[in-house]
Amino acid sequence: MDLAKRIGLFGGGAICFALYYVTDVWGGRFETVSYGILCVVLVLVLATVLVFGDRQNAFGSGWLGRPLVFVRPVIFLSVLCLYAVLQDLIGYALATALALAGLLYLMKVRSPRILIALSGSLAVTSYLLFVELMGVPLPGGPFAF
Amino acid sequence: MDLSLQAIAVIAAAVPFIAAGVLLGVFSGALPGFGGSNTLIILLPLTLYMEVNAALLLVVGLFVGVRFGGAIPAILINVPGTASGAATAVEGYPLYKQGHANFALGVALLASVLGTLFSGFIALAAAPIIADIALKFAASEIFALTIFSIAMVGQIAGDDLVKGWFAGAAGLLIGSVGVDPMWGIERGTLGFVELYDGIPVIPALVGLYAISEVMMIAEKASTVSAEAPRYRNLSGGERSAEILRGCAYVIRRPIDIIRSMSIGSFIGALPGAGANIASFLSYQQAVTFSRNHEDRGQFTKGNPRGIIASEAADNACASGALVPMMTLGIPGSASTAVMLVLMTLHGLSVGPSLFTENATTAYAILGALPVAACLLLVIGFASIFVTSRLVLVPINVLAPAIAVFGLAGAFAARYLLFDVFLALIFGLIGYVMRKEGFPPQAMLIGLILASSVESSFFIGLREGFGSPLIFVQRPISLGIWMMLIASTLYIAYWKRRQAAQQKAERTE
Repeated sequence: MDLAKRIGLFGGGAICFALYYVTDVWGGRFETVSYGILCVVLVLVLATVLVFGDRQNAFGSGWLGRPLVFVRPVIFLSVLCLYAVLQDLIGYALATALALAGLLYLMKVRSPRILIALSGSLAVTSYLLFVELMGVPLPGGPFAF
Repeated sequence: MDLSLQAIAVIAAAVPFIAAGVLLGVFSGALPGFGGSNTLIILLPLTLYMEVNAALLLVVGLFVGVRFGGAIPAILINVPGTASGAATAVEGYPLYKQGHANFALGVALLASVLGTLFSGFIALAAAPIIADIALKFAASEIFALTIFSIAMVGQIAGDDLVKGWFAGAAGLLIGSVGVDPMWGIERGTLGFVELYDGIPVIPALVGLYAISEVMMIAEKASTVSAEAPRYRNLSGGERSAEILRGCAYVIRRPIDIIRSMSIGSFIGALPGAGANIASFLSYQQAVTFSRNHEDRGQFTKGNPRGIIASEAADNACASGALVPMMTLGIPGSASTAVMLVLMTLHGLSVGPSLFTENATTAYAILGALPVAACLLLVIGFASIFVTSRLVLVPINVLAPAIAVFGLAGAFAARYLLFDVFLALIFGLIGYVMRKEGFPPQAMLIGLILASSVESSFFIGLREGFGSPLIFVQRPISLGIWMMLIASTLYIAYWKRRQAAQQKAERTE
């Protein structure tokens, strides 16, 4: 557990990706493999220095021992993921209004009038800006807007 | 001469866009926590649909306006709108509490204008010279320079040198995802066809900056709003007179202004050394060069010289950072990275060839800086009267808007929902990086420069007939490696000394 805390999430993720990268390119041509392998070596060398060097420079800052601190940010991100999925199902404008209402509630905006006014007006503004003004074909969904 | 006239014509036609950019910049800078990078990221897809010169000069105006905008909440509510405004808050907020808010804003305004003017003229003079030298660069120099830039960003942007380098190396690694440039063989794509062209920069930018920042805001979500700034009961005319008194104070301090602008311009040219470093260094120098004991004692109690130092350096740095980006294709910060992406998406080849293939546009961008500075004087003056309410907009209301607009921008790049999910993944990566002390700027710069690093690496090897010694044989590339080693040793020594000083202060 101590090693996991020292490596941390970013370090662990980078090392895992580096190992995947090596397995993906192995056996390929020199130019395909070599640059990536050099980067992988660099990542692993720096990881070793960080993990086994001075404890103060370890990867993780120990926040894995305090998981509650990132509950709200993860919920925020989950709402955004749901928002991305909903866009294709119910269309950009409606999905945006719902997502904004949810996010504002999560950010401790509790007044129903402010929630509805803000989420509605921002959804309409972003729709007009991106779809009408810029012509970006945002997902329409079954309601075609 | 012809070129100058063409550039002037471009600037003259785009003055409304420059003014719009300055106004937008001042307003977005005045929103605490919003920041210039977020505004640029949100505006980026909008500018894709504009004519190229108008889009670029709008962004230049934004660059200039946001620095002064960040000073407004710093002075009025002690919450800087940009990271570099923290030094302004140290002196500006005490002045507000003493009832001299308008005076402080006047000082900040003229210091910002002069800082931008100075660095604009320096950029106009220096950029063509640097571009001319850079045209003679071979692959080994380009390789050395890109590695130097990534290493510098990693060293300076983060608190820990090795963590910064690790983030840069991770950026280089993920920047190689996609088909390799030599043989067209896909690598590291996890089977996704959408990644065959590599990791797209806009979703990465939106994720690493906008989404990770709103996640940080969500973590600290608070219902406490700032206290409304209260001015003395002054009429509009009296407020204007106070602001002008502040401007006059700046004119009476030419040495402070010149020193601060010089520090800012120099720091701006260094990759990774952002405006916050420039403003704090300049502030520190202003304290060091105090005229007498009484003047030194006034620092942190409302000394306007501190505002001059901070704001002039901040603006000079932000404008100065455009030079290495345009001449060498090296973005030193998120803001210049956005500018580089914008120029690339509009079909401009960023780097030394910009000054030969698109010279009119290049000179128009640099020439727009002094124009934006002059417009800032007028727009900034007027905006002081309206932005005092803007500083009260709570950041927990802005955060969802930033997220939604940012994701729409990520979609608008390639019209793929995949890019929205990619932005969210990078958002999570950026959030984790910030929590664990890794600078996201280093990863972003590594990602952007990865293709240059790889292509210059292989071209250099071929020029050297397979020998890696080619990268240290040419004098310019050897000089760059020497600079990298020297700066690494100096920064490591300086950080170690700082840590020892802080430890000694704590034990006392």
